[in-house]
Amino acid sequence: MTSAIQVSNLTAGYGRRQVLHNISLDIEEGMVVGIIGPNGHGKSSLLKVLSGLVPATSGQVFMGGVAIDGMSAHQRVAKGLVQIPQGDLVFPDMTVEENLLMGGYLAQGRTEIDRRVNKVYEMFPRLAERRPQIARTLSGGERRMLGIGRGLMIEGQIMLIDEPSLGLAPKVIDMVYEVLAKLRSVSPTLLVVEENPVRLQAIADRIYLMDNGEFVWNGTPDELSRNSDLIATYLGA
Amino acid sequence: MDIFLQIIISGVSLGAMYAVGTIALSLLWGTMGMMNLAHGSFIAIGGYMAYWCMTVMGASWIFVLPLALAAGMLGGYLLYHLVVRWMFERKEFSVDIIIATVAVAALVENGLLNVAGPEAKRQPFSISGGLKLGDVVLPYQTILTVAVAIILMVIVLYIVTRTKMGIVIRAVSQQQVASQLMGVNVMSAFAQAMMLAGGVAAISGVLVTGATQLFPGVGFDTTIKALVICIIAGLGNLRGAIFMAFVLGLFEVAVQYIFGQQYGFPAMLSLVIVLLILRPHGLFGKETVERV
Repeated sequence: MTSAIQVSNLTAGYGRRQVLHNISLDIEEGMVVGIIGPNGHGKSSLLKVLSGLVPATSGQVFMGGVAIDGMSAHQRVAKGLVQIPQGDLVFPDMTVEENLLMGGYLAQGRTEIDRRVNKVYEMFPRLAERRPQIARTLSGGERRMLGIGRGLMIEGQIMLIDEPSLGLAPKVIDMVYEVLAKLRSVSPTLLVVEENPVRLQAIADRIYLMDNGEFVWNGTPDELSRNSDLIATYLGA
Repeated sequence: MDIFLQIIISGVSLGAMYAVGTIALSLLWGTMGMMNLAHGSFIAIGGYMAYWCMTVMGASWIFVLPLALAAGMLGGYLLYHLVVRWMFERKEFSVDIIIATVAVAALVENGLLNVAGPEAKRQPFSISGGLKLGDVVLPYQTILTVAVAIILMVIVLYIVTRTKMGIVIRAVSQQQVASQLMGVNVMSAFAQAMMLAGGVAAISGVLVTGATQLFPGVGFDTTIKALVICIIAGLGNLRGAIFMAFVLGLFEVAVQYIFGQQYGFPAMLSLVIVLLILRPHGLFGKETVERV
């Protein structure tokens, strides 16, 4: 199998504060990888470094074998690296449709954009119903669907999804995870960050546990469920 | 009835001029959180371009607006690349850019003083005569100003709401991080916004100086009024700014007719103070634009 994304000895932080320490990671094409860990220990920062929003202090990131360290965030998107950010980073004063059109910013031609929009509406019929609605008036769950749908519009090769269940009601989380399960057919490789491993275990091929900016464990979802000490120590559950 | 009609005509004419002078300022605040106090320089550049085109080069009036547009866009491009891009990432951008654009305005004004001289000139892109409506005369210059202003507003609103460039500018103004994650080169979007604003401001300069006079500091007064209109409407609210420009134009002219010429602008500023006490974010504003 070929590497979709490869991270080698990555160190990063904000100003003088180092958040990530010597992170190495190799995700093969088609895999769904989960990163779990306590809040504020570097999971989201890792995604930001991979997508180019936060610069790395040292180390290298390869995509399909090509180093992408020197690329800005928008250039990485053009290479097929998509990040669905944490929270509601939708365009609040734009309609649902305009938000999706922004997702298709790099797509060529109106026909192609329409095809992608219709595909998203098929996946999220609720968004089709809300097509002309201003994004800030949507519910939390609908905004999350819009965020994922907008990311899908890019049709990238790798999707980095940051805490898709954060702040949502259990029913909505079920719906979001049904969609993530379907995403395997759309985006070959997924890297999903979550604080709680329960839902992630159902869709991930491999899970990494991050603590204080380092990977302290990795294994399959089955191995994780058998390791109750690990969960109790790091996740308090 | 004639006085009422005269107030409407003069008020709409003044409002159209205010509106067209305000669009560029509002656009940049709305998209970049940038208070461009060099706005008046673009107005002066537009006015001097019209003068240079028709008086010095002897060219036809047809070339005036396209040339002013090109000069303003070039000015916007240069202002972005020489000044804005170097300080945009800073936390203190919103304050730094006010100081920097005041400096740019002073430089441009001094440059024009050295090149064109301090004396006021008549800007040749103007039409004499007028249309008689009963006892009221509607000057052709007013018709021209209102027509160009309306066409310009329609074009700018169309660009901002209907074109890909406009949607991108709006997206960047609402969520820069998400825009980057959609593949948008945010800096390039800002450069485009500044070129658009520069072009619009220069055209407004042709209209403003056509109705008044042309001198190096001609843009200062319009900048102050545009700023007042932007604040009342709610900073960055383009449609609100256009609406308020007409309302304030009519208000100022009505006060001038009823109480005297000298009371127009002070009355407008008093109204602004009252409105800001009652509506701190402006009439159509949600909240102050916060850069992230």
